[in-house]
Amino acid sequence: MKPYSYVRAQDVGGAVAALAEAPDAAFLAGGTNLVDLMKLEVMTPNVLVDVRRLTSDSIEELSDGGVRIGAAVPNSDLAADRTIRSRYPMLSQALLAGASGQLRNLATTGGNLLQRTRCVYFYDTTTPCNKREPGSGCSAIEGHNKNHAILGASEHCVATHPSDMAVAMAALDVSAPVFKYGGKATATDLLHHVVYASATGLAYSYLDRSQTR
Amino acid sequence: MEQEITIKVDGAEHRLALDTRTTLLDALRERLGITSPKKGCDHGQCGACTVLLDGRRANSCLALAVAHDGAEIVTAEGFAGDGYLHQMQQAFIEHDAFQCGYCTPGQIVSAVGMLEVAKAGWPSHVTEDLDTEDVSLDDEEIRERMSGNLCRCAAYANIVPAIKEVSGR
Repeated sequence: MKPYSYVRAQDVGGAVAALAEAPDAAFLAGGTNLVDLMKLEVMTPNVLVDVRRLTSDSIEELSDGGVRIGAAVPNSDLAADRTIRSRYPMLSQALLAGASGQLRNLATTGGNLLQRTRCVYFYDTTTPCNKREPGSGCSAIEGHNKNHAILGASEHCVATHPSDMAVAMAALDVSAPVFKYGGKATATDLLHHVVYASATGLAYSYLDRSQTR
Repeated sequence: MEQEITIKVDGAEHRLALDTRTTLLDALRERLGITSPKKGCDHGQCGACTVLLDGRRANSCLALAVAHDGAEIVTAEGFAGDGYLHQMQQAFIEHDAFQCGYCTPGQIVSAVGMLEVAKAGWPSHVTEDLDTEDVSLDDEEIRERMSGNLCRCAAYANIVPAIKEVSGR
């Protein structure tokens, strides 16, 4: 693993500022995907900004009948939540279909959405990959791509998003997460980006600019 | 780049200055000499490194030590005391639930963590009624819930009955 410094962000403003100061920084939550990628040196952030304790880890019932899921809710808690199980069984089932009990305990909801593709060329640092090294090309288009996108792929990337949870959320028409920062509320259709980008590749990078490298 | 953390392992508190890259697994094994969590794949796939992290089973190979400052960790060693074994450890011996033993501490910690959440009614991928209050752990349930722990000796045929026996108590 390449050396990096570790900071625990105290608030959202601090986390955003830390990333602004260090363009090669990455956000860390559960770490189940990021730490693995760092060991393989597929991702080489020079600063880790820990945001796990920054965001909500609760699941709230809203007055309009919906549910708000905090970004730091572990995958295991989300799958086991009584409200989710009875009202959105598809979401529980999707979560339980993935990973293992140990990984689901560490992995967070936000991290699940932001995990990186399992495309073998993304993992193989000796081959070109637009997701890992924008502009270098896509090895999968002419390579081993049996598990890659059929619909919505682009000439830049044919990788798919690895999250089962995101697929269930998209099917359930989950609405935009709202980030309140600097007194202004900004709604970002994160899921739209995830699902769209999982097919088209490059737009996905904008979700977390630290992950473009 | 070093950073200081405090962790509690099997009841004892430790203050450590660590390279930020150190995983909990390496901190336990290399710095504290607690070798029951094993390094198998080192990528979160085999489960040999499983510990209870703040009461829940987790892959210590993917948890960065600096991110878990203040955490309470229990390893398979922590289950046993002077002259006695945890009932899960005892059941593994009685059922001959291992061959080489490398995956065993991870299997045991994972099984204990798994029984805890099963008791709380958490469903698994094979639970038919997601709304169930009462999870009954048949072989299929145990296999699914223990799928994060691999055994290259394939002692599964004895691991499942060992866990089943303890779950029935």
